[in-house]
Amino acid sequence: MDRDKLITMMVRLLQTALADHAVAGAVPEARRDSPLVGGEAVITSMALVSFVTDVEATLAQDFDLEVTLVSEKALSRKNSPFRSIEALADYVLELAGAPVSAAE
Amino acid sequence: MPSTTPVDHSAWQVARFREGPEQTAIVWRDRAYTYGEQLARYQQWLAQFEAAGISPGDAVAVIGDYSPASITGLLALIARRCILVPLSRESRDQHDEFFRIAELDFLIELDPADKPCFERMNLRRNHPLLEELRQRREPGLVLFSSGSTGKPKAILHGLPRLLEKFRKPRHCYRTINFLLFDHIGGFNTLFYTLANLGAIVVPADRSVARVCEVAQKYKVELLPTSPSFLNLLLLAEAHKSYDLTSLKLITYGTEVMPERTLKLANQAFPRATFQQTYGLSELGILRSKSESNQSLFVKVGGEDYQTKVEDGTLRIRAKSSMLGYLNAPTPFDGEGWFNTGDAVIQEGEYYRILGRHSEIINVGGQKVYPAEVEKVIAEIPGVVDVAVMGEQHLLMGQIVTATVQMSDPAPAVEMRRRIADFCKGRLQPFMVPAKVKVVTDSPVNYRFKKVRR
Repeated sequence: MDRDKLITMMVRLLQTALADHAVAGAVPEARRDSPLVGGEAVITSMALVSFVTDVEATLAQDFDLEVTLVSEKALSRKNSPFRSIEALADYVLELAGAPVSAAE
Repeated sequence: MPSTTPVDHSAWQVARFREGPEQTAIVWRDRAYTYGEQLARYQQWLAQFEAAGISPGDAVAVIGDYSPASITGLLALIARRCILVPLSRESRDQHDEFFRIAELDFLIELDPADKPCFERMNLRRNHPLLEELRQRREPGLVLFSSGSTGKPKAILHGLPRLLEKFRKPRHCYRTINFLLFDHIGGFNTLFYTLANLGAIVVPADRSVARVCEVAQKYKVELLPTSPSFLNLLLLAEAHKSYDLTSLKLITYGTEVMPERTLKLANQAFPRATFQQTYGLSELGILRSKSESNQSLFVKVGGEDYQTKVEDGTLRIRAKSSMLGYLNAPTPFDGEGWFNTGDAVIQEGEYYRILGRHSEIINVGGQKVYPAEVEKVIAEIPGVVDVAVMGEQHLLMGQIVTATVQMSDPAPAVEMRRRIADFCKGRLQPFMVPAKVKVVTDSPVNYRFKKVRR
């Protein structure tokens, strides 16, 4: 599983979620280091939910991987997989049983 | 029977303002406004109503959020004996429908600078319940909630009855009004705070970061919130990055509190008291007392409410119950009891609320009836049939899911996109299905499938 492909997919889905849930004004830009939770999070809670379920659906459809990202396991991690898209991608790779590496 | 002239709550409230003119009424955009300043804004509103032609009995919507103008605007409308229709910007996708159902005479929209724009609406059709309030020369309140028949339900309250309880003096707190401007809980917190000359602190938005920022900066004491918000706060570990030690009281309601969340929240806020709240748009917010910080058991009622359990569900009879729905039959039985639909366990005087028996979906505290979502999705070209359901979600409690049968099957991800795009402008974002499944047989077969925990 290609880490960069995953990240590209997630950035695209995040941008969609941000556009869908914008209340007013400018839509923030989605980037690979965009924080999903915490003080600097670019995303509202509903947008986070949409984003995560879209990622799960895309993983199932395009990568043949069935995972639940919002799980007890993910929520009780010391370093949250939701702290950035890159962290989430690494978490997906971990769930997929693939070794985590920066290269393809 | 003795007749009593209903107390003019706005006159009572304004007299209270005069008792504490130097006290902070609201902190908005990093500036504190005193009760004295709010009094002046209130008087300005009355003059603006005169100029705009707003008369007693008019149904007037105010679109905005908590701000110096919106709060004094609502109070001035009460003084003018109008029928208030507060609307949040968040619900704007359904506003056109709300305007019609509430039979608006006027619309007031507050711009980002808190300046009002008046618009005459002329949608009045002399609904009997609205006429009843007009005959009685009483101000009213209209709130909306998701409807089981596919249309949002409009709840009409007579304000004298609803506001009576706030004249009993209670605590004065610095509070964040977390619940929305058009939510019964938000309305309740607002009038409670005003009556006790507390201060409302308004965050830039309702994200964890912005709420914690102002809670720290202005030493907020009371945070009324929802379990979903606490989930997100805990996930972000915001209690570690912000000094929230000023919080004395954290109240939670609008959805079932998971045990795990309450336990973690208590650990994160060891000095705070946790209090469960309970109420409905139809009945107002009840007085409540949690058994303890860590317990999900709560005593609800107070002197204006009676409660009982029948068939495992909680029934309430309230003095401050609504006059009725504007667009649905009365839900009260012959003796005035309302079936909340909440399954409860009872232990002595305490109840533990287990959640809804019905199909209503609770997304982070906001309620959705599947029928309302199905009605919209069914209009999408190519959709043969659709079933909307709730699914358990660790952060939000529940999320909305849709199972669709298409004339021309498409991948689920694409369908979700298509549905989301179609629902924009028709449904509020939390009502839009977060998950979509495409099937080849009837979606109704999937409706009774047991949900994963």
